[in-house]
Amino acid sequence: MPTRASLTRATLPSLIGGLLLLAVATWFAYGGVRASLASRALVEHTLEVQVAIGELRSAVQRAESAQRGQLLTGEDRYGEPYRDARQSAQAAHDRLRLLTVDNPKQQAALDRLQPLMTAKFAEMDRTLELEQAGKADEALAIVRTDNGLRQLIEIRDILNGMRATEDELLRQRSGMATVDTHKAFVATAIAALGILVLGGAAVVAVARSQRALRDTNAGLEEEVERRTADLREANEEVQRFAYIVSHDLRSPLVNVMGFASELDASRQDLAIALRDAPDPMAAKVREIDGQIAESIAFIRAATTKMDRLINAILRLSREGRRAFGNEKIDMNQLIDAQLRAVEHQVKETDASIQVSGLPPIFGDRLALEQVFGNLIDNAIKYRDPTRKLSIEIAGRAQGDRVVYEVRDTGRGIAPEDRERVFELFRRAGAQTQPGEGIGLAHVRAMVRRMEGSIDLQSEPGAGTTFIVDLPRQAGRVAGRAE
Amino acid sequence: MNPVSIVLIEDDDGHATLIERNIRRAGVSNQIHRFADATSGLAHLDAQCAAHAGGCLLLLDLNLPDMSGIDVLRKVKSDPNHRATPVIVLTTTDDQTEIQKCYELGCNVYITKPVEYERFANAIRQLGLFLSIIQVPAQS
Repeated sequence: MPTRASLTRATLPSLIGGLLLLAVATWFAYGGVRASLASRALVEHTLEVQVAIGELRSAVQRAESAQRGQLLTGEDRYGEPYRDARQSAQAAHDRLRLLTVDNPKQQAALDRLQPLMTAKFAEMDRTLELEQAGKADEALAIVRTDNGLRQLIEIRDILNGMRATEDELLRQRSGMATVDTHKAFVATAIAALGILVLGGAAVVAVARSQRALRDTNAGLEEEVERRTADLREANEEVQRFAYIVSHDLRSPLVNVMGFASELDASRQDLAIALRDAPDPMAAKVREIDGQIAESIAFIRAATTKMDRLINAILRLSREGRRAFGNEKIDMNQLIDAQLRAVEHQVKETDASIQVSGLPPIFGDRLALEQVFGNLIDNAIKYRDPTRKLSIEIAGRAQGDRVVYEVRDTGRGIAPEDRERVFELFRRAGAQTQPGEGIGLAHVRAMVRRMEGSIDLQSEPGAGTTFIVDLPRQAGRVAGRAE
Repeated sequence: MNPVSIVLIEDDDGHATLIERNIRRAGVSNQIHRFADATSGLAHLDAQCAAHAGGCLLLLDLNLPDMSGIDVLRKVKSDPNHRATPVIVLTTTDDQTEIQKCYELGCNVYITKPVEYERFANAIRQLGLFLSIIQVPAQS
């Protein structure tokens, strides 16, 4: 059993450790996924920037194409595309400013780009205005300066540079995103593996602990059964012992008693044979005969007493083995019946007896008759001859228990004897009454078997109260004990 | 006089003596064979009682050194040769279950040996009276 218990004990920390590891792996997986998502966003951002760069470049080119078209053809239909391209270029530029606000390099590029763009568009605006005003030659002269071309090339270079920067960023960010995705994947895979392993371990641990629990339970049940069997056996052993002792002690007593009687018979025969002996001898014979008779009387008295004690042990042993009944008993009727049995003595002693409403009980009739019969008997036997005896029998229910009291105005029991009176073969006070000291021992044994208790309160010279406290379901308890 | 032979199986010599004395006092003069153990008592039953003209009557104590008196009773009552032999059980116990068991096994009379000698002597004397009128079947 201890190895199983420690196995189970060892399982818990390892499970907790496993859970912690799993939490860490999950955290990494989460972080990886987040990083990966962030990288993706950056990549998208870069792509957006690149789109804007492309748009700007194409818008500037479109604007120039429209300008050239108009200057070459002198037709006004290029005005609209030029304004569109000019607007697009400005919009793309503004978007780039915003998109690359976190990138100083790109911002610097834009700072260089802005005056170029302004100058380029200013020149284009001017040539178009001159052409509109009919001064196409002047406009063409401006174009021939090649300032516009240089500006355009410069703009392209700057945009190409920006593009290259973004390409580099894209490469970096894509790589990062891939790494982050990879990391997230690995962490997730580890976490998943951890879940599988932990789940498996948990299943194994639960199965094992359940098995251990089942084994322990079975072991406990076995243990309880074994202990109960041991107790039952010990109890049976005691009962058997009491039975054998009383039985085997009786056998020699039959001999002692029998041969004492035989001896007595022989003595009488001898006395008759020597009846006519001459005087000095007859006197001696009478003297010896008297001594023999006295000895025999002692042997008989002792044997009779021993027989009574053995019978008492035998009776207790039998009572202990008897299965208790469980019937509803009207205690008023039961006590009445017990009182009728002692009616003669009650009249003789001029005692007064009062029984007030007693609660009923479920139990063994014979046991209860013996308990209260004994208590009533004692109350009458141990009365104070100088006072009138009155006996009061009362009872009350207390929850699932019932308490009965037998109160007398007898001679009482001295404090030092209050425990002794319940012991087997022990008696208290003046030995004015015949008895072996069995009654109260028997009473207590029976009350205890019903899982009750018996107590006494007494004042020498005033009286004694016996208090019997029993479960209301006394029979069920005692029946189970059997 | 009825020529029944009495077989007394009793390990306590004192009890045997008291029983025999009281049987004699009752005026019964049949032969009494005393055995202190069950084995020799049963051997006698096997060897002598079949040949005995008037049959045997068994006085049996329940506490014997070599086997329980209950077993002796069971043996006798399950043996076709002895089944008809009257068995009187004499014992110190008055345990009701034991008494009932003896009767169930076919014991004819059950007598408790009381410590009180007068009762004991009386029981044995009455047994003597019973012995003087009982007809025991001769064995085949």
